[in-house]
This record gives sequence, C-alpha cells and structure tokens, in this order.
Amino acid sequence: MSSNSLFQVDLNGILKVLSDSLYSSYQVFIRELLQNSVDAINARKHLGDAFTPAVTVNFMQSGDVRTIFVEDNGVGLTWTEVDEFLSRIGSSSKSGRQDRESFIGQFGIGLLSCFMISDEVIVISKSAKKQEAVKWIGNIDGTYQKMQLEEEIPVGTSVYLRVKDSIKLDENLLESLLGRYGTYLNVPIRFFVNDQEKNNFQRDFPWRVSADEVISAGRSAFKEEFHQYIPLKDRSGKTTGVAYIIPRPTHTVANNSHAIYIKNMFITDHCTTILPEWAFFVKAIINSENISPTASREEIYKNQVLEDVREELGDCIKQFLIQLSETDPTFLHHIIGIHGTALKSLALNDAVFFRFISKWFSFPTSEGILTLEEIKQQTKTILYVPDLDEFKQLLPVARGNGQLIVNTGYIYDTEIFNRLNELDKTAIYQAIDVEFFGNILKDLPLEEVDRYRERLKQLQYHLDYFNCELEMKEFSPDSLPMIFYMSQKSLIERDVKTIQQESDDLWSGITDAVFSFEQAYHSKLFLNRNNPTIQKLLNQPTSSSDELFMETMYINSMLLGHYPLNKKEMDIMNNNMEQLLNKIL
Amino acid sequence: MISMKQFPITTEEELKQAITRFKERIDYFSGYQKKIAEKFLWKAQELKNIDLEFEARRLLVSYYNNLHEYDKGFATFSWLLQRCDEDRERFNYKSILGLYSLIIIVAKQYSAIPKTRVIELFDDFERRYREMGIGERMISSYKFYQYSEMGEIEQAEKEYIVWQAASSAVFFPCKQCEELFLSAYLADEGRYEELLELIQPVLDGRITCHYNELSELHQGMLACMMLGRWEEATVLEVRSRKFLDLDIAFLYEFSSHLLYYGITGAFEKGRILFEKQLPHAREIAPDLTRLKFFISSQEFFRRLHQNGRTFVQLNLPGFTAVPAGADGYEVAGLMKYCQDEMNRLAEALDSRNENDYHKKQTALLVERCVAIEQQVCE
Repeated sequence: MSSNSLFQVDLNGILKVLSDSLYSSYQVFIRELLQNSVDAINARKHLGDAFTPAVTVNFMQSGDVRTIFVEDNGVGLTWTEVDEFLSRIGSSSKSGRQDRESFIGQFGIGLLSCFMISDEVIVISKSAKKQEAVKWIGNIDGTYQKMQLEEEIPVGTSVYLRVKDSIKLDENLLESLLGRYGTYLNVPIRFFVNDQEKNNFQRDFPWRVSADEVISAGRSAFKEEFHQYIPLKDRSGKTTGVAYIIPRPTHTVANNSHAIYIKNMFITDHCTTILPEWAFFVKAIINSENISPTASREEIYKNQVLEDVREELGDCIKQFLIQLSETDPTFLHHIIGIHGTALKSLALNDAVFFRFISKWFSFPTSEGILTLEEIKQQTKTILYVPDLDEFKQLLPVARGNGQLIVNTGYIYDTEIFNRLNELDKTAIYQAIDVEFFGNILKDLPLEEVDRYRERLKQLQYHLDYFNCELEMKEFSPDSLPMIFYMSQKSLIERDVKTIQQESDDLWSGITDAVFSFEQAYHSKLFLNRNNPTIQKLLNQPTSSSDELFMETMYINSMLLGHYPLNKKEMDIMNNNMEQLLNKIL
Repeated sequence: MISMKQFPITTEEELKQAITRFKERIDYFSGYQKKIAEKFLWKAQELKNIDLEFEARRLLVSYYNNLHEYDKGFATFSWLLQRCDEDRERFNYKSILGLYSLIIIVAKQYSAIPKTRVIELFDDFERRYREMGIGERMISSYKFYQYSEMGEIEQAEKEYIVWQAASSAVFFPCKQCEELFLSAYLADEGRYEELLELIQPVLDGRITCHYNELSELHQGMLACMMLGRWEEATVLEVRSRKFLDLDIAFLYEFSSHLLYYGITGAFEKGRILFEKQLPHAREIAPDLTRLKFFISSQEFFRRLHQNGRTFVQLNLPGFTAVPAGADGYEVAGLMKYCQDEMNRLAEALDSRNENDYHKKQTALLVERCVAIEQQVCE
C-alpha cells in the first residue's frame, strides 16, 4: 500500500529558519514588501490598465505602539489568489507566468519575512481583475483568517504590521531602509510619518543621469572620494553600471565588494564575483536584468550567465584603458602608477591587452622609475635583474658607469620582461646577474693586465680556499673597491658540498654518485682597479698581510650580500678579527 | 602567486612566519617558488637558527622531490636525517621517515649508485622502519619495488607472496591504493590486462588520492594502446595530461604519451613534448626514467621518419649531440641519438645490477611497439 502525503510545516519553525538562516537581518522585510508592490504594479501594467503607479509607506507611532502600512496600487489579489499565494508558503504569483522575467520576486516566501518583526500580518487587497476586496490576517502561530470586505476600496494591496516590542525600528531606520531598497525602483515611493509626508524616493541610476551623480553615488555607496569611473555594460545591455577606480594602491589579494541591484532592487553591497579577480582596483555599482538572486535575495546566483557577464564587464574595463591611452595618456599613466601590479597581472593573462598596455608599465631602474617606453628611448638593449638583492648590489656600479639596468625582482616584473623578450622585436631584453654585469664592465688594457698578472695570481691563491675567482675591472664609482657575485646555483653546490663533507660514508657516496659539481668557482670578486685601496694592494709586494686582506674582503662581501657563512668561513672571520684587533693594539 | 616582495625577512620571527605562510599558500610546485624556498634556507643559515633551517630544508626537499631534482634532494634529505639522529625529540623524525621511502625508490634508478650502496641504503631504511614498528607488509612492498626495478624478478615475486601474507601496513593510511605499487612492474612486463584490472579504480575515478591519477592514468593509456583499445586510450591520454606539467621532469609519465603520439601520428604534440623534456633527460633525472624516455623518443622519431619527415624543427639550446641545420634536426640523427642513449642507459643499469634485465625489457617494449604500429597501419 502506498500513499502520497505532503510535508507538514510548522510556521514557527519556518520563521526560525528564515530569521536565523535565510535572511541576514529582520530589516529585509521592507525589501520584500517593496518587491511585492513593484511586482504587483508591473503585473497591473501588463493588464493594460491606465493608472499612475504609486507605493506609500506610513510609519505610525503612538506611545510604544509602532505600526507600518505599505500600500500599492498594483494588480491586487482575488479571493482565490489570497488562498493560493498568501497562505501557501513557497507559492508565488510570479512563478509559471510567461512575463515572470519582469518580476523581482520568484520564490513565494517574501511575505513570511514580515513575521520577523510582527506577530500578525494583515493584508487588504482588491484585484484589478475582479471587483472583490478581501482581508487576510496571518498569525505567527501558523493560523490565518480570510474575509470579504463590503466597503469600497481602490485597486491594490495594503499590508499592516504592528512592530514587535523587541524589534529596534524607528522612523529614521525605516527611512534609511527605504532609501537603500527603494531608491532605484521604477515606482515612486512616498514615505509618511504619522500621515505626514517626510520623503520620497525615486531616482534613476546615476550613470543614466550625469557624471556628477555618478561621483556622488560612489561617495555615498563606498564612503570614498573617487575621481574617475568606467561605464560598464554587458553585451546584451541587460547589465549596466559603473566601476570606480580606487584612488589609492590596492593589494593584489584584495577582494573588493561591489554593490549589486537586480531589476533595480538592491541585493548586496558585498558582491565579490561580479567582476574578474584582476579588477581589484575598482569598486562597482551594477544593475542587472539577467543575473539571478539566490532565494534570500542577498547574494547572486553563480551560473554561466554570471560568468559571461563577468567576462564582458571585464572587457569594458580593458577597453576603457585602451581608449584612455589615446584620449588622456596622463591619466592612464596616473592609474598605472597606482594600480600597476593589478594591471601587470591582467596583462600576463591577456595577450591582446599585454601588447597594448606593456609600454605604459613603470619599473624601478638605476635611473629611477621609468616606463618601458622611456627605457626604450634610452637603450635598445635592456638589461634586467630578476633578483632584488643583486639589483641593489649593482645599482651604484650601473649608475657610476652610465649603464641602465632594470629591477625586475618584484612580483610579475620578470615575467613581463620574459614575455617582452618573446613579443617585442624592437629591443633586446636580457636577464642579467652580477656576474653577467661584471663581465661587461671595462677590461683593463693589455699592458696593465700583464703588469698585474703575477700579483693577481698571488692574491687569487688566498681565495682558492673559498672557491672564489678574482678578476680585475675598471669601473665607477672609484670609491667602490669591488663587486661580489655568488649565484643561486653556486649556493646550492656549496650547500651540497658542505652536507656531503659532514655526511657518513653512505650518504656522502650517494651524493657523490648523483650530484654533478659543475662550477669551477662558487663565487667571483670583481676588483676595481680605480679604487685607491685596490691600487695600493696591487702595487705593494707580496706580504704576510695579503692573506688577511683577501680573506677579510671575501668575508665582508659575503656578509654584505647576506650570503650564509659556513663553519670554516666563520672560523676564519673570527680569527682575522682577532689578528686585526691585535694589530691595532 | 607568491613573491619575494611578500616576505621581507630580517628576523627569526619573520622567517618563521614567512615559512608558515609559504607552506599554507603552496598550490603548485614551480621553479620560482623553489628559489624562494632556497632563500629561506640561506636566511636561516645566516641567522644560525637550526630549527628554522630544518623547516626550510623540509620545505625545500618537497620542492626538489616534486620538481624531480633528486640530486639535490638526496643531500638535503641526508642533512634532515642526520639532525633527527642527533636529537629525535627536537626534530620531526616521523615526517622525515615518510620522505625516506621516496628516496629509496629513486636511488636505485641511478646507475651511478653502486649496487652495494643501494643495498646498504635499503638496509638502513628497513632498520629504521622496523624500529618505528612499521610492519612487514609495508617493507615487503618496497622490497618488491627494489627487486623488480633491479631486474631480480624471482626475488620480487617472492616478496609479493610475503606482502600478501603480511598483515596490513602500519604508517600507510590508505588501504585503497595499497596494491597499486604493482602497476609499474606489470607495465614493464607487458601484462597489460592485469595492469588495467589493478588500476581500474583509478581509471573510473573511485580512487583519487595520493597522486594516483598522476601515476596511473598514463599507465592505463599505455595498456589500452597496447591492447588496441584506442577509444579508451584517447580519453586516458587527455585525462593524464591534466596532471602533468611540461616544464617539470615527468620523463616516465611522458614516455607513455610520447609513444602514443608516435603511434597515432600526433607529431606536433610529440615534438613539443620532446623539446620540453629533453633538457631534463640530459641532466638531473634518474637513469631508469631517462631510459623510458629515450625508448619512447626513438620510437617517436622512427615513426616520424616512416611518415616521410627528414628534418624537424626543435628549439634545443645547448644541444649539440645532433647537428642542426637551416631545416632543423635530421630525424634519422635524432633517432640514432635516442637509440644510443637508450642502449647506453640500459647497459649502465644492467651492469650495475649485474644482469641483463633492462636490455631485454627494452627490446621487448620496442617489439611490442612495432607490433601495435603494424595493427594501426593495417
């Protein structure tokens, strides 16, 4: 035997679910009521009735008793529709209709939100379809009464709520909620307090009015002073809005919140999914006819439509920047100055955008911050240093020798230059390290090399112990005695070698069999022949202090470059320090 | 994307936080991130903090292993093991033992490591595992690996019997993928039907743990291809590729793909794969995986040659073993180079193992490829 049964719903239970889970706050009751009113007015328009749409909200206070009246002149409800739509949870007058797209609500649960602020909901309605008026009283305990009204009332629906004592709601809060949810609805909303008109809300979205309105709306929505905005529109034209360019640097992982309206009804000001992730340098206000709200109407539904809209709005931002390069390059430069990191991230993921934007990017160089275009004006062979520490070491030498170098040690910059190397054939892009740079510094004349050959051999002898190669160069500034280089690869080899020496026979043998030690020298010291101390060293005969001098110079270079010293180097450093102190004494 | 700019480190506390944050945000393994991990190590050494050095090296060894840079991984691992031996309370010995199993799997794949050392290493591994109370079943599965890859098949079969009889492995929490250690052996032996049966739970998506998709999907593709089940092979080829990165040395896994590309005539895909993986095959990778790669490569170029291509354009900086002209590299030259490497590596492994297992297996795989090619041509 089988039978079909309906779930039994405990209204108190549902209210708890609503207040605790579905809605974030009791304040949304006004949104639900406004939504029902607007949908009712749209439904009446579909009937072809001639009328002037109007919604009024009246807040009445007498002593501690607060009552809210929400009235509209929409399509109204018939006797049977009241049963169907007010008394059955989850049944909506809008679901199943061919014209449902023009309605904000779809779920049939909105009226229940009123029970979050009132124990009793009274609805009086007269349908535009039938000349009958009906009164419905819904109670918090799940019961309701319905009666026909004899008196003559206008077409439309009125909702009466007596606010519970525990609910904090006064005329100011209600006015503010009406402003939040009702401003952009296409229906005039008049607000009364104790029957006295206090305010009315009906505006068009700012991007349909004027630039000043847009800036003002941005200030009001995000409490920030914006100076520039980007118009947004998806391909269908159903989603429109503005994206404000944040006038301060933002972090790459910033997750900006955008204000979203669906069919003119405010949904959330915490949306993070309407724009692409890379657009973290803007904040947007958007109204959409094609994306959908979730059942709580406090977030947007994640589906293919949203993905398409997101991509198309992202394209608007890209196109704006491309246009700006022609109409206002100074401003584009200003934006890149603030949001360069975001735009670099975007460029690396979009080849077309990369080709356009890369010349506007700025990079730290030995000549200060320069755009790629400015760098290319100075040199067609662009040397870039992917390691921040190495750039710092090279900086004085590069400046002293008039050689422009670019620091690409910050996020995305090396990838940008690697990409340029593939795409831009109007310049040569060369990644360099200290060794590379040292090798392009000026060599000594042949006769000088010959003159110092033996002396250099003597000095090199003291560095062999450290696997460090010595080379003589001429460079500016003269005050700099040397530059030192140890590559990441050398550091690894040094590390593996140290571990191997400290390992037992088994592990030492395995490392020996597998690891190939390729580097003849682990590090390189470029001596500056122009430096007075180095000249003194070169011109003096071999002495017992050579060892101390070279070792100290090597260890000092290691320390300045933040390279780790091994145990032997530490011992030598301590020993040399002691010798030097003894000499002073 | 993790950047050095996010980790300005001067103090021990900053380094500690940086390592922690770095670990939390690892989503994939790249050379760039490995460099940052290396910088953590230099900083820990500069600060002379052994605990932070331990953490930095633990992080780094996982990069070396995942990027298949085992040559550096061995030394770093031995440092970690040594610190644990000095003070088992202070350092996380158990986590280091977990890494040991990977070390012993890889070590025997290098022919330069003498047999005596491989045995010595395994004995050390076994001793430490037994000390920790790790059961027979776990140890015998590694012994099976050891024997089968070194061509001692009778011994391997005996270990399999031990494994079957032993109680469930301790220290190996995943029951469902416990038996998958047999898959590489079954593939080598050409027992493709049994292989497919074994890895079926991975192929149909029931097992997705412990990198099994990375390890088994390409085996499934190879088996299906060898059995002429082309539709399944095509699907598995696409699925397997999703787990592989051309910039990382996946020589063993990609060797199956390269065979597939050669046999099915997907020469452009094969060309890109060869171009990207050859540098790894010439440098750091274990000999056994290089052998697999060169077997597939010579098959690939043989098929390319059969298809009437005399030259092929390849971007191989520093590769001079085969001369390149204006038209690119001569296909016959590349084929010969790969055959020579294949023979050399098989010989090196066999001579270390004191048998002729890899030479025989190589010849058998080549035969099987020719047979399946003939089927395709018919």
